[in-house]
Amino acid sequence: MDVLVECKGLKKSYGKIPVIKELDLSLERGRIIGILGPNGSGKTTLIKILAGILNKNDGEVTISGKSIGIETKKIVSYLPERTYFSPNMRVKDTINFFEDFYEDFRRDRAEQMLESLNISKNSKIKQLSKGTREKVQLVLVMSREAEVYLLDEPMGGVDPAARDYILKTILTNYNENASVIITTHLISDVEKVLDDVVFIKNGEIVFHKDVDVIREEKNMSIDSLFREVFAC
Amino acid sequence: MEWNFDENTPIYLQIIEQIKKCIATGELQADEKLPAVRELAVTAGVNPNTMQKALSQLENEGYLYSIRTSGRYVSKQADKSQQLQKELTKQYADAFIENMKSLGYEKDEVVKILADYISGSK
Amino acid sequence: MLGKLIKYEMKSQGFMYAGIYIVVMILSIVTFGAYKINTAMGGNPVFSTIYRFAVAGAVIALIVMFIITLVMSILRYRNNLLKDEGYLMHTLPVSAASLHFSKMIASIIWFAADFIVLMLSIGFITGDLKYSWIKKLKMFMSAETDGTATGMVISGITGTVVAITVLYIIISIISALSTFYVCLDLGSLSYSSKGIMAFVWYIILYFVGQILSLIGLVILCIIMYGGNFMEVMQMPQSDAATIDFVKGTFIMAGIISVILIIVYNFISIYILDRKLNLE
Repeated sequence: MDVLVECKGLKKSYGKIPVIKELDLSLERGRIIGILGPNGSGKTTLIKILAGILNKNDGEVTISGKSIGIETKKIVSYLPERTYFSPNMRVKDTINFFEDFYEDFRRDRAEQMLESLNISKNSKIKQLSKGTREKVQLVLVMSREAEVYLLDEPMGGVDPAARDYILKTILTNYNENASVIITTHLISDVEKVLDDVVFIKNGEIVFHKDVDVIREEKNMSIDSLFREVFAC
Repeated sequence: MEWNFDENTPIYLQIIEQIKKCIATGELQADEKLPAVRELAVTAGVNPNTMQKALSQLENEGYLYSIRTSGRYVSKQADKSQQLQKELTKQYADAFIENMKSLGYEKDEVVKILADYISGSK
Repeated sequence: MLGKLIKYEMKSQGFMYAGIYIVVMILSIVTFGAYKINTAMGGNPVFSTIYRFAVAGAVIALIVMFIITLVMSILRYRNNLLKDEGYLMHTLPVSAASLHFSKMIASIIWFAADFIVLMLSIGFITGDLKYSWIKKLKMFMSAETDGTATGMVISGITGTVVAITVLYIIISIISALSTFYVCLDLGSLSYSSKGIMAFVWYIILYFVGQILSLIGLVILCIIMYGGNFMEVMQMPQSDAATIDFVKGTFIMAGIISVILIIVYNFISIYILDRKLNLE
């Protein structure tokens, strides 16, 4: 059991409002993990803490044995839900940028993916549609040979064909040394590619299981289980 | 190979079933080389670990064999494929009978319906 | 990494500044043309007026250039580090200090470029391409100034005045940038009104600056004139003593500025590193 991501007693509050309460989580290498929960459950907060753009209040978080910091940022590839490039940058500038700052960036992979998506390297970010921008960011994030990929709602606001492409990219890039952590609402689209699923509610882990085990035990899809667990 | 999954039951079991079916129908020939796990996973749209689990089990059950540096192959299994056919035939028949029962038919009615259906579709 | 970050700063803002500089230089050269024509036409009111308008235009352009530099420095810091682009910048394997200083250094470079353009522009505007005013300024500053009124006032000061002025400008720019940056960072700690809080902090820090200046002034007086400085300063001063006092205030202001610069930058980096709060 090779633990890649470990949280012990993680706590995070926004002001006085606790968002993550005493969270313990252990994620292995070589797994594709879905973190599912309703809005406000703390899943985006958790991802941000792992990405290093939010500081915890208490507890321990390590990735590959290291505390969150510059060393973990080198091995974590983060795809947030928003456009994070300057609107005036061209696609080729974003490639140069990633290549400049990330040693694990594979330019050929990125260029090949952009070509197969018919995205011109000369386009400016602001000229692209929202869906295309998200694809560009996904391509760049997946073109790094990272140990942890954090994909925060990678499929929201994207058409079904693009969703298939995203899932295909995740599967194609799979390697036993890395893990992919996905948060999403669109569970039925994504569940076939997941190894494990983590249900999070009110800042606490409800459970963390292998998906086929869930299907075997409960005879239902993850999507159905989600609706059951998080019924209003 | 066409893949069809129902998310309500374990995917790896469905993979096993569908591969067995392909072997039984001859879509996968004896000694035919299977694509790499990752490639199969991508085509099927499933998790590579899940695919690996299914293939391992098929290997354990003797439907596949592997050569270390080259990959996985379909076993020569004349007797296996007959057995497989029997297995699947029984499975399909069971399912059919169950469904007809749920519509309210008795067993003898089912035989007549089936005969009519077959002669009608000629 | 810091170098790379600075490189990207220059790249992303280069076009805009290039455009501004070109406009300023064009206006300056046009003014030069107007100057030449005006001189050639010797006293003709029409050309004289044209020249004055041209000068006004060029001067306005120069002022706008500096204003834009300041505004863009602030906006760039906020947009790149505290808004959506922050999701990219803060996940780079670089320290918060690098991110912060890359913005500071890039802004200083742009201000320096502004000054170079200013110097060039002055040459064109005044029709004085040989920059003879620099020579005059040097003479003015040297001890050989004649005993005229102005000469007397500054005769105690040598050519170091230029150096001090330059230093003063540099410290002022860095101080202004540090203050604006720390206000943005402090404002970003708020969850709902980051912009408003930035303004509020600016006002707070303004008063802090004023209070520190006052304290500094008192300290200076005590140092120079002892505990009963109030009485001492009522008595008539010699010119040399006045000059010393003026020098003292400059030095004290400089010290306070430097202290504030250091403190503000520490706070900024601490916030970016440990209290980052992107939406």
